Amino acid sequence: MRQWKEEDPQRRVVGYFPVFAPRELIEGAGAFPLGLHGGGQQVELMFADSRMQSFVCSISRTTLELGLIGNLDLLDAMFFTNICDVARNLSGVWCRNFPQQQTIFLHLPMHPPGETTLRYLVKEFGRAHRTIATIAGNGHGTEPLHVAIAAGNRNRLLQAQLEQTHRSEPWNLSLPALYLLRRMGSQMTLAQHNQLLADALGRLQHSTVRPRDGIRVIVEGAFCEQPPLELLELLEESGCYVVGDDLARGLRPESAPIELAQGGDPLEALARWYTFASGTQSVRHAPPQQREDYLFGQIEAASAQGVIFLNAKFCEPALYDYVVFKNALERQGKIPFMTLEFEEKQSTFENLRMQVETFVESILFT
Amino acid sequence: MTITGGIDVGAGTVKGVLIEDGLRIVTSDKLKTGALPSKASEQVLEHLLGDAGIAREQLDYLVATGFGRTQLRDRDLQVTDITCNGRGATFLFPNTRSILDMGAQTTRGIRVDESGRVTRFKLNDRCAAGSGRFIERVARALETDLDTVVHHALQGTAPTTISSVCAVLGESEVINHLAAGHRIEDILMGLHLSIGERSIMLLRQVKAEPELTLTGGMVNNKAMIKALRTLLDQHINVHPNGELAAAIGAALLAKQRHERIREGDGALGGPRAPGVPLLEAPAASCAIGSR
Repeated sequence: MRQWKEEDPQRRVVGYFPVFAPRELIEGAGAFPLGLHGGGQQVELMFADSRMQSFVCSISRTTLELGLIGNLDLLDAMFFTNICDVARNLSGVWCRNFPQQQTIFLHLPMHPPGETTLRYLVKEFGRAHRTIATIAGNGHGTEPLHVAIAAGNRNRLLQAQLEQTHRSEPWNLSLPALYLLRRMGSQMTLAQHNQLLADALGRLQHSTVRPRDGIRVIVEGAFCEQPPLELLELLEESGCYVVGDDLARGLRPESAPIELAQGGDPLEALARWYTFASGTQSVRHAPPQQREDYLFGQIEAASAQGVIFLNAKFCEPALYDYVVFKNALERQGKIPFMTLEFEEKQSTFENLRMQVETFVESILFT
Repeated sequence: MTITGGIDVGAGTVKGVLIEDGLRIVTSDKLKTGALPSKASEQVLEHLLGDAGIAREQLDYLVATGFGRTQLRDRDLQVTDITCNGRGATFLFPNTRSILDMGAQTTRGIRVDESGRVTRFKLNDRCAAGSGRFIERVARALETDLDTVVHHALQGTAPTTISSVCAVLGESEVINHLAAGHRIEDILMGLHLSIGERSIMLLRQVKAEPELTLTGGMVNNKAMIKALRTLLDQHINVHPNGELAAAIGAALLAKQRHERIREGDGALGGPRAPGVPLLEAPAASCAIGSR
């Protein structure tokens, strides 16, 4: 990325913190959107602990550490949204510690869908677009936004096809591979990601692998911080076909495409999509019944036999969802579930393996 | 006729069996695990299929178990050794209600119901001092083999107490006793009693009830059986195929799953995309990220 930027001094990179950032908006303003997902198992905390408490999620601390050790000095701006108080505070810490980078905070609406919400979001998206376009020296024209939205729509379509393929024949595309294909979208442009997804789909057409026995489960619970790959591998090795998940949820297709007529206002189209058609996202307020309907809809669509909750330690939004989902499943009493807690720097998984295998066997051999 | 297989990829030995209709052992095999559990388990499978005169496609279902269960690529499912031991021990002795599974690396106390389903279990937290590996270490330290250790231990008349709970320290303790002039026979029987005592603590924790069945590689160690009978003062079921118990259980669970899938249960038998066959034959592989 550093090399790519040095090849052309005009190039600009905007980092974004999960869960959701409208990549179309950043690309459409002329900058490269670079998703940050913390430091995983690779970063030792040396400086971030002096700015953030030890009882907050790992991803916020390791992302800050990456900045403080100079790994993110290629960024021209950093983009945050109001997912939780920790992310909100991190944006403030970022602003103070990296004055050479512009910190952009996007206030996504929490309100239920409606025209007022839409009008607010058009203004908010417009503000962010103008800020990034100024950084990119790109003027405020909307043509690049049209191009980015078209690429984003194709991206949703390709991701939906990939997920459908995985859901119907999960042995042909492992969960870690699906997850990485999705997550690679945070490290490349929409057009590049589309090419990658199209290539993967092409390869899968000729793939036939002898399936193993197992149970079909859906995975819920990860917000910003993502489970280590070893944990995803462990789920499959233990006999779980994960046929529905909410991993890297900010990078996933949220159902409907963005509808943008020829000559239409792309900011209005983007805001309308987010307000009305972007599905039941956990990052938005929704009454418990709507959340429950979402969960049971996921279970039904995937023909799942169980649910595995993967919750990051210290993640409050995940716990909010977890209570709603857990109560709903207990009331229904038909779908077994289990809960696993993880953190970025986890290195031993054997205890979790035993728990998952016991869960699988309890379904297979009853 | 249904032929199902179970392969127990243990820390010391890979054991495998094929079972016909969940009733009769068709053939069995075992090999040292060595440094490549995947290779040893594939070899055992190859031997089993060769002995039975069938191809892999004719094997209706294969379950892998043991510490290296995910190393066997050609499995249909992996199941924990605890569950498999429960089924296997009940197959060997139908009145089994408690199991002491003593392997190379792990010892487990298991309680089962009348159908062999596990109701409680406790394991020795991977400490070699409570498993067969301890005896192997001592044999190596004495520059002899396992059979000689067992032979000498059976001659012990006044067992020496081995108090250490760590295999490394226990090994030093054995050497110290030798230096102090204790008889080797008494030291080695003391060693077996020491391991036996730790194993019995696991049985107490699962509230073991008769009948008790011994499984795992230790069924071949007569000194250990003598030590356990001395400590427990009760009958212990010991079967010549006791070492195969987990593999047998795996093959029986394979039979159960095979029947359930035929009835339309599970990820393979349940709802799936049209045209996806049930447990289709191996074909060219170019999956992304599959193991």
